[in-house]
Amino acid sequence: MPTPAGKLTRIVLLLLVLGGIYLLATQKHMQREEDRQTTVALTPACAAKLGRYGLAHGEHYQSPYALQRTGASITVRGYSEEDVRAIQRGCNIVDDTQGHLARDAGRERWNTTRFIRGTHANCNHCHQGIGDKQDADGNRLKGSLNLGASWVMADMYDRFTGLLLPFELRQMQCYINSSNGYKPNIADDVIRDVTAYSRFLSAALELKMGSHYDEQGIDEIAASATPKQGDDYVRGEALYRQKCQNCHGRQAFGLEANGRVVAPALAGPNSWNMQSRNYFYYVSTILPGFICRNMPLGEENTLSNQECRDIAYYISNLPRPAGDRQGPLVALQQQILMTVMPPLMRLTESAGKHEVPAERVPARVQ
Amino acid sequence: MVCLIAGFVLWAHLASGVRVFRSEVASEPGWERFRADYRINHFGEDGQFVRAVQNGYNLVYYTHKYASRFTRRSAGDRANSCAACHTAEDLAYAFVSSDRVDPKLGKRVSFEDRVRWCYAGSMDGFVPTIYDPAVRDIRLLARAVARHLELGEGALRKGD
Repeated sequence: MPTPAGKLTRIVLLLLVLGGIYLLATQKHMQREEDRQTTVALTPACAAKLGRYGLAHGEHYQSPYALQRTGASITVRGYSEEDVRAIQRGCNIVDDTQGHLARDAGRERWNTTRFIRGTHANCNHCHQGIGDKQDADGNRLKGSLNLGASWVMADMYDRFTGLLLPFELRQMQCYINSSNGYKPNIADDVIRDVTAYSRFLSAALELKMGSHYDEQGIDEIAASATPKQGDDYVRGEALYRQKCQNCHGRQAFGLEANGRVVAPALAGPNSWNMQSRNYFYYVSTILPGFICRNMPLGEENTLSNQECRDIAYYISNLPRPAGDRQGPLVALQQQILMTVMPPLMRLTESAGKHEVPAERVPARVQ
Repeated sequence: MVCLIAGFVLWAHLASGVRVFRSEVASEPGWERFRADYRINHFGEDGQFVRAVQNGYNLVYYTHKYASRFTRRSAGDRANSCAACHTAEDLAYAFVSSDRVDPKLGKRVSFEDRVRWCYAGSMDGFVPTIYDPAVRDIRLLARAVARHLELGEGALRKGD
């Protein structure tokens, strides 16, 4: 039976702990507020992109891009200094998600790596051109996953999840699956700043709400868009060796130099997981579409539909992390595969047993 | 037993009239007009998006009835719905200009934040979570109207 003094001590201790937590939370909150007010150091690519789009604080905004292309530009609501900083941070997050270029990744990226497991994932790997890929003439490219175009089409029915998918939730899926990581809170600055940047892109490109644009999402390639040869692992492997291996590595584990990712991993622990839409066995049309429209860099749209499907099929058969729906057994299996397969493949390759017969290397199809 | 279950399912879907058993949203007066005026049919006759917009319509124009959990206003009150203060087009313009810093509050405010404050303040009620259909469907209604008006991000009204 505790004495009154013991009871009092417990109550005081409890109050001290709660007070400590409250003070800590308040201090963190103030720190974050202070960070929001701090000038943002832009990555070189973001400085160029946002400079080109004339981002500045002011009562009104007019897009120089639209003005240059159409000779006219709509005046829309402008941005406050804090809005501008949010857009700048959003751009930084998309361009340099892992914070390699940041002086202070906590302030300029909100420590985005908290939500990512691997060391390679970066928004800009899929949403290229910092989410707004264009050719030399400034034309936006079909199937290039433009973030501005995604924003204006957000909230629509998503057939993969069966949800009316808000933009913020879509970002969460990217963190969970494409980055094989964890879900940020919907109100986290990590999410809100990227939303602010995407909204700014849609203003700079003068996109209309609820309209579908070619550059939005992926230009999916279904099996029906091929001569129905079926997707072939061996053909895919041969094509991978020809077209992708130089950058992504022999086992598709990506390429790093000086601590920075030159080409991201397409397999292994730094890659997207089995619940990602990039995973061929989950959705078979997305990765081929991405490859055809966005790869190889500088030679986009040079691969045929069948070639893209073959490469996607091959890549998806390489070991990668399990998704959150696959359960612990599959996760364990994938971990074992990711550990065992690389040395085995090296062994078989060094033994000269891994050559693809010349007759299996495909002639150009379609 | 099987007959009992089958009977219950048939009754629930076809005859009960209970809202949770129906995939369609109750059609309130003015919906068909609204649907035609803002060309909601562009998104189809039915389907999740249209149903959500319809629910948004019900929430905006009949708030006391469809968001009774979040408002203390009753049918007898004069201002008992969002529509008492805002038109659908107000909501659309507010939506495309949301997610910016409000100088009066000194913080960034999303469309959802505004809706939640309306429930708590103007409607003298309670704050829904950000995921609640009572918030989401109003956003979707605003989005559908913004589409009809061909608004882009930050669009200004004449005179703004």
